[in-house]
Amino acid sequence: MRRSGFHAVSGELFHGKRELSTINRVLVICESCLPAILNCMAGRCEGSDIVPRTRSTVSRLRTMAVATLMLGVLVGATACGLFVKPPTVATPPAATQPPSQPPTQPPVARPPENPQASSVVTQGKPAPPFQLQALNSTSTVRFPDAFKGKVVALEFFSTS
Amino acid sequence: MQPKLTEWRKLGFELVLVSMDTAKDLTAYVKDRKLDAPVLLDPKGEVSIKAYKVEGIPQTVFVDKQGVVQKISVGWDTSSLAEFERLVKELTK
Repeated sequence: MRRSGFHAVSGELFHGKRELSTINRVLVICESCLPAILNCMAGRCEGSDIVPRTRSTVSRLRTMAVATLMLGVLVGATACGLFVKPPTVATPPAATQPPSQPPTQPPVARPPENPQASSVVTQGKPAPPFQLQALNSTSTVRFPDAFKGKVVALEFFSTS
Repeated sequence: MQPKLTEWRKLGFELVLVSMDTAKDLTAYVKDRKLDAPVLLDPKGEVSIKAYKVEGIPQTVFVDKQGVVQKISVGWDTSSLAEFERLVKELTK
């Protein structure tokens, strides 16, 4: 669910991809987070879907966006994303860094939201192997071992 | 696919049915429809949901001789059988 991917994990960290600009700051957030944040900023939070920490973060952001008091530079976007301050002239974060500075990306990327996403069955990829009990039998069937050399159609069905 | 199964098996094809239903329900269902294909029990959805992330029922995953997914078909309509037949013949060449 999109809301479960709402990456306000520390109150100041966002998955950094898309910029939401105010007068003098840039909030870097990801595409999937953006609708939820915008909804919250418009007072349409669905509280049960957003963890309290996230909600308080959005509230803080809303306050800051309205006030537009702070200046500075937003840098250091990470795979998790950072709420970073831009220079007074908004420029892409990477452009603000001299080559000698350490990279803004952390050495370890944030794990994917859904760790099983890589196992999604895709055309052109090997079919995930499995072992299941056969109906009216005590034996199990191993796929694809039991069907080596054959073209197989796995049909997932329901009686209802 | 059932009506074509005998013919397709001669080409090197096999239909494998996977369901999360109970063995009792499946037994009656298979008997009623005279299904002639292995039926595998997946009561907890370990394969259907976790591994194959089935999005709709029925969902048919065609796997070639090398174990590679060649086609994922969700649902069934009047054109499905002809499409499956074309696919079976193509993959079993």
